[in-house]
Amino acid sequence: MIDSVLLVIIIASVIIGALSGSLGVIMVLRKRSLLGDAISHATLPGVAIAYLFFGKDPLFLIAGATCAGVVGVALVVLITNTTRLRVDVVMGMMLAVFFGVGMVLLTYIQKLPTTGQAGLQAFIFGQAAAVVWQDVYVISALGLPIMCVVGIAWPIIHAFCFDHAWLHARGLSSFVVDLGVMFCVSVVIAMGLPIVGALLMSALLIAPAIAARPWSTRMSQMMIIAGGIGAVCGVVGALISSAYARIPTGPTIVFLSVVIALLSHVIAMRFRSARIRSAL
Amino acid sequence: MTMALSVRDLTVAYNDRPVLWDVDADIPVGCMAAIVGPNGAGKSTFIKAALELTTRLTGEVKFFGQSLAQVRTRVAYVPQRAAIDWDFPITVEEVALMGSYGQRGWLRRPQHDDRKRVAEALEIVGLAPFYKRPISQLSGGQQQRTFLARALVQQADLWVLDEPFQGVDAETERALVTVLHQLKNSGKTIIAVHHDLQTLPHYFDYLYAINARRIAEGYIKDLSVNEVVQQAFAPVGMSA
Repeated sequence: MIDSVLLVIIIASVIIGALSGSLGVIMVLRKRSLLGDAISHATLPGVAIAYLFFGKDPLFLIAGATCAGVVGVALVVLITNTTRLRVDVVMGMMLAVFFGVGMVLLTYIQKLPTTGQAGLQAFIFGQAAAVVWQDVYVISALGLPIMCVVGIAWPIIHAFCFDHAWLHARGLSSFVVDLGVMFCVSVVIAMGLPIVGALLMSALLIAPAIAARPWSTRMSQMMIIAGGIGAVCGVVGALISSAYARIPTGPTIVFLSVVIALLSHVIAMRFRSARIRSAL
Repeated sequence: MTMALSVRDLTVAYNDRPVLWDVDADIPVGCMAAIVGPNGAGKSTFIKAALELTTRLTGEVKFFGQSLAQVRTRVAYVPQRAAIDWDFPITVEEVALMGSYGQRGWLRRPQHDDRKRVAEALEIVGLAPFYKRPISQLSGGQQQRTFLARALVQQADLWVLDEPFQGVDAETERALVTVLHQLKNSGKTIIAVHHDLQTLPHYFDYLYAINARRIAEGYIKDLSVNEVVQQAFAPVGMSA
């Protein structure tokens, strides 16, 4: 029997899985897989600062996390463009700096006499059990417009991922498009934090896309498959963790998606070699 | 005479290292121009800077006497093949269809006449049977033809191609040249970075020689090509 608590967790996990799975395709195809990790680490100080000013309202926490994530990406781009440092160096550095600042702030908040158990640690490791209906409303209210934007701006996103120089030559600044895409990704990462946590969120962005790649000949197809895989991992992860009391939800979802990604490639390789053998 | 591309005092530098110095250019409408120069002479940079794909330090660039923003849809850019991830999940038809993107607003979906133009373009470049194929399964020559089809769908008046014959088979090279000649004969202007000095006078009728500066330019029939090329390929400092 599915009770109301479990239902909330399942719905939230499905939405986050589907969103991060499909948007992750953009990151993977743009060869920006590591940037997702940088964003999710960069969100932490935003969560802490939003908490200090606005308290535990999920909308403000998500807004704070998103802002910090966007600032993190902007700094990575700015430093890479203005110095001679390579992008991997800058990302590695930003990831550590933001996460460090976030930890300092979170520890500070934990020790404030007024806050007591603020429960902000959940943003680092994820704590699906703490998700409530209000979170689901916020996730749906933000997730739906993001998918609509992706659908409406599809020609731009499609061309941007495939050939951004060409898009630029056609008059659309790839910097502006990049910023818009990174903003959407940051929002999704911020929404996933309470369930999956900052440390594992990037895996949920990348793994479904990797799993979908061998079975897609079009980007739109890849986004649908990856979104589906993310959603399925969300349901199954939530069910497994509810059936076994000691298994956490977020890490289970991430683990499932990584296993599916690996299996998908093993099966694809088998298929390919079988086809070559039958052609001989 | 109107110029398809006119450039004044174009200077570009990468990380303090100047690549182009005060470059001028006047490429007339209706010609097929080859941009020629040694490696590192700034040929690709010249194209990219003109199309605002690279920041320029100084310089004024006009297309058909107007700024790029005013005539953007009339200019088609065909990037170097190496600049693309050919493992990207996209079909030949989708790449060609991209040429219709942005012509009547960026949010508009492809219509029936766009798809008709795609079918015609793929027919012209000889890729009609492959339209459903993912680009990862194409040969180098077929990939270049796919790019050409995308530019055809765009129905541009000026074509800017970055090394279109790089790494393609002889058959594709002939096919590409035929298409480009047809375009030129219908009044379009072609500007291409070109490496093969043997084929230069057969394919092109206009020469733009560059080596960090403009070495020479003009219709090939009016130039002594060998002399210009020698000058362009001379070590920097020796060229007058």
